[in-house]
Parts: sequence; structure tokens; C-alpha cells
Amino acid sequence: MSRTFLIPARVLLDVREAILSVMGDAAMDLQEPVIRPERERHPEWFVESRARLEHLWRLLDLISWGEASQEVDVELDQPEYGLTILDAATHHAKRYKTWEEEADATDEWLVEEGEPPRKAETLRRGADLREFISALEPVV
Amino acid sequence: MSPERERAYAAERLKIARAFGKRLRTLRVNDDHSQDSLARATRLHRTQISLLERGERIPGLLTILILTDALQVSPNNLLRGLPTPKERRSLGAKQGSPHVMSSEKQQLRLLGQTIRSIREKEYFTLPALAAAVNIPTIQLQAVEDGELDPDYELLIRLAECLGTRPSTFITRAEALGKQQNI
Repeated sequence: MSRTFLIPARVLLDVREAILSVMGDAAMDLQEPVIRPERERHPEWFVESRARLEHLWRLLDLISWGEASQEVDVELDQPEYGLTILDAATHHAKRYKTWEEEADATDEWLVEEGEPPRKAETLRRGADLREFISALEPVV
Repeated sequence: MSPERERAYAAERLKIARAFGKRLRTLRVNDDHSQDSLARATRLHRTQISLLERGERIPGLLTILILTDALQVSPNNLLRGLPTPKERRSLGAKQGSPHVMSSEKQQLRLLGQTIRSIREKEYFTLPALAAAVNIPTIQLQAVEDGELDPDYELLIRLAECLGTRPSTFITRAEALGKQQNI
């Protein structure tokens, strides 16, 4: 059984957004003890959030932070990152539901602002993400 | 801060985040914005708008000001009706008259205790299980404290991570209630 799995280039942007959202959870957890009194006496308050943040940071380093002009397929270690990617992508796919429902309203606003519509792109990316999740679920 | 107060404060933070999210959504829809268009109007990421509306983020001051500017409302309007985190008040100010817990609250508390008990038996820390089911730690803490009613989807995810079934949470909570004569 393969110990790796592939993130296709076409979903990498959304996987990255999903990971960054989860990173926000870890950052929020880390922020809370920072404002408490006696924080200096309780390094254990920071341990879990720090570990989670570092795990996500390593993952973003591996899939790249989006600085390249062209996305490429990325192969990752399944035991180390499979569940993290699956959970983050699954939550991100739920956000797409709202964005897809509101795609027409978004396009109206974009046209008023003189920007190109993006409904087709939103629908394609949402569908690609769901397809990726379906392929990943049995592996993880 | 004692663990009890810490948990109560976490539950309050979640309530505040959810109340803010609900208020933001109402004002956004009233202003004929989609999440995406509001994100573009504010130069915030659309994921951030989604997270705020779902109560999964507590906004900072700058975010609040940016949103009020885009929605053309006052900060007071955006923050209207939000509860104050009383758990951060001094202990003296917090003391009040004891109250009787409602049946629904008792059931939620028993469910939370059951989830915590199974989690600890499976050697999951709170943040680790929260990460595994992809929710903020404060949300799971609120569930375990009986401050938040978990939806069935969350119960399924928790059960999967803890190697059990959602129905087990319910039956064990009922058994715990009988033990405690509730």
C-alpha cells in the first residue's frame, strides 16, 4: 500500500487556503494564553498550539506557499499529512457551498466594479475540491 | 485561572464569536453583499469572512473597523447585542445567587462529560482531538462543558476519531445521568 498521496496542481490553491484556515485556528489557540497573567510560568499552555502550528507550517513549506507562477502536483507522506489535508479540505469544501450559492450575486458586484466574473471558476474549483476529497477519503 | 473558569471563559468566547458571526451575516445580507464581494470590498480573504460568520474566528479591532467601513454601519451597530465575557471579571464581581440547572442543560453537561471521559480514555488531549475533527479547541471545550449543543455531524466525526459510534455517546450519557440520579 502506498505511503504517499498526490495533491493535483488544480486543487493546490484551495488546499493551501484550507491549510491556512486551520493555521488560523492554531494561531487563535496560541494567542489566548499570550494575554493571560502568569503566562511565563506555564510554558505547557503553548505546547499543543505550537506543535500544531509547526506541523501546518511544515506542510505549507512542502506544498509551497503559492509564490510560484505555475502550480505543480505535490506528493505527500500519507501517515504524516493525509488526515490533516483531508479534514482541512473537507471544511473548506463547506465554505464553497456558500460561495457557489452566492456566485451570481458576486458576479453582479464584480461587473459593477469593472472586474471579470468568476462564477465559472468558483464552480470548477468547488467541484475539483470535492473530487479530490472523494479520492483521498478511501486512502486516508 | 482555574480550569473551571478557563472552560467557562472559552465557552463565553465561543458564544461571542457566534453572536458576532450572526450579526455580521445579517448586516452583510442586508447590504446585498455576498461573502466573496464583501471580502473583495474589504480586502480581507473570503475564507476569513466565512470563518467569522461561522463563529470560528474572533475578529481583531482593525477587522471590525474595516468591516464597519465596508458595510457603512457603526462599530456599535456591528457589535450590538454581543455578550460581555463575564468570566474575566474579578471573582468578587462574579459571585451571584445559585441557580437550578435546566433539564436540557443537564443533558448537555452529561453528554459533554461522556465525550471528555472517552477522549481521555483514548489518550487524546483537548487540542489534539479538536484538531483531528477540525474545530477550534474552544468549541470542543464548550461541548465538553455542556455549554454547546454539538450537531450530529460533529458527533459523527468525534465518534470516528475516538473509535466509537455516536449512539455510544448518548447511551453512556444516559447511564451517567442514572448514576447521578438525574
